[in-house]
Amino acid sequence: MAQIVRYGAYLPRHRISVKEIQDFYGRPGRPRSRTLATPGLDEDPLTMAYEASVATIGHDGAELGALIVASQAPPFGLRKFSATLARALGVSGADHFDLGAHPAGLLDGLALADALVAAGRGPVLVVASDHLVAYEERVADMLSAGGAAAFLIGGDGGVAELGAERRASEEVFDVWRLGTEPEARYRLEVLFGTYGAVAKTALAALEEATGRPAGDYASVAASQPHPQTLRALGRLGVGKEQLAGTSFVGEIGNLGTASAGFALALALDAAEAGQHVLAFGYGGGEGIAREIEVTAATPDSGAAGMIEGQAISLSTYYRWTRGRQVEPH
Amino acid sequence: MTVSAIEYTRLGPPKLRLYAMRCSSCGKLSPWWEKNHCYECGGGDLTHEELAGGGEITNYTVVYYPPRDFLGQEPYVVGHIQMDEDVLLPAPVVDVAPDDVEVGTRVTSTLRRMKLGHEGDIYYGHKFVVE
Repeated sequence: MAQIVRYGAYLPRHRISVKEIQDFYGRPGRPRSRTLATPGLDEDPLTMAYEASVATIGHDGAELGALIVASQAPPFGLRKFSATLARALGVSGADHFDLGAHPAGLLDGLALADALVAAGRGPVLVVASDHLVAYEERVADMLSAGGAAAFLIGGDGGVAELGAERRASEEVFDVWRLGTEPEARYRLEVLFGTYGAVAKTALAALEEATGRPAGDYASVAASQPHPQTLRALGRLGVGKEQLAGTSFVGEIGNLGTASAGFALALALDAAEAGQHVLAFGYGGGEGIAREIEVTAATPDSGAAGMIEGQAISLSTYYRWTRGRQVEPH
Repeated sequence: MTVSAIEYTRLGPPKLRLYAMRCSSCGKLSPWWEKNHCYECGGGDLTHEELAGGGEITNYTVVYYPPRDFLGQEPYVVGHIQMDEDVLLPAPVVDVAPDDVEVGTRVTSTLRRMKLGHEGDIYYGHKFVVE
């Protein structure tokens, strides 16, 4: 099995209070997240992917065999995100792959990297970067935030080994977008129900493969589009202490494709050699569960220290979100 | 929508890598936009050389009334960055409050959006963050 050699994460520093947004739009109810990690106007998934990549491999990507980028919100369409990132990183001679339209794309990327390394085409840099924007009061449901995480996958010399992976899926419309619409449509009740259902099936299949029930992992690094989804994991035997160090959606919002990656960086930072971490990605009715065994002392990516951030005013947030919608001038 | 060839020619492709121009005559570095003229000796044979990204602020100003492409980001800092490779580059310094910047502050480069072009093409470039 392939190994995680190094990893890095990035969060934009700006935080907007969700309560302020709800108060502004007159929306009642307790905010589902305290703040949202909000990229600045000069940031987008490419620049955040660059930051996480540099934190992982530095400015030298010369030895990469492949680069895989997963994002639901590339800054441009009809162009190759991974190729542009490769040029920014100075990667030459590597194959580039884009994975899109799925919040669990990081887990797909790890599976692809696993195969590429086994075929002798590594090392592979897998990057997940996202900022799925929602506007007006809908952001209180979507909890739109931005971030990125990157993992260098190689054949040896790593700090953690990629273990067995199992998947489950259902045909549902929970969060989706039609054609070129600027923001997603969503049915939260379908999201909550399907997240729990496919997690149950995928975790049962993983337990059958590994002999390890969900409650036995040192920590669980899960996609977390909404705090309610993590409660679904609780009903499947995942303890609060397993999510304590990797749960952030209630603090900084939904990082989209980067969600599972940022959680995995948090989990690896806190893990000790010999422990097992469960990575779970969810998106569009598909759940992907993978066991990861920590084999050596992990470096501190600093992910936990990025969560606090710096507050911005509602007017700044409003200008920035409207600014993202403007036509070229 | 078509792409404006005039604008593309004038601005060139996005600056995804940070580089300067090395003079083959005197060996000095000039800023990246000097394609044909060495700042030191006036030599005309210059080649691209990538920079590591580290430097120090030698001078700066705070922009409160920005040009149109930077609206919404004010107030922000634009500094003269003395790169470790001995070339002076002007560039925005981001993710820092103006009051927290001073001459001598160490900075490192990062990729950011510079502007949205006339036709919607995105211009990336290198800004700097405090180390």
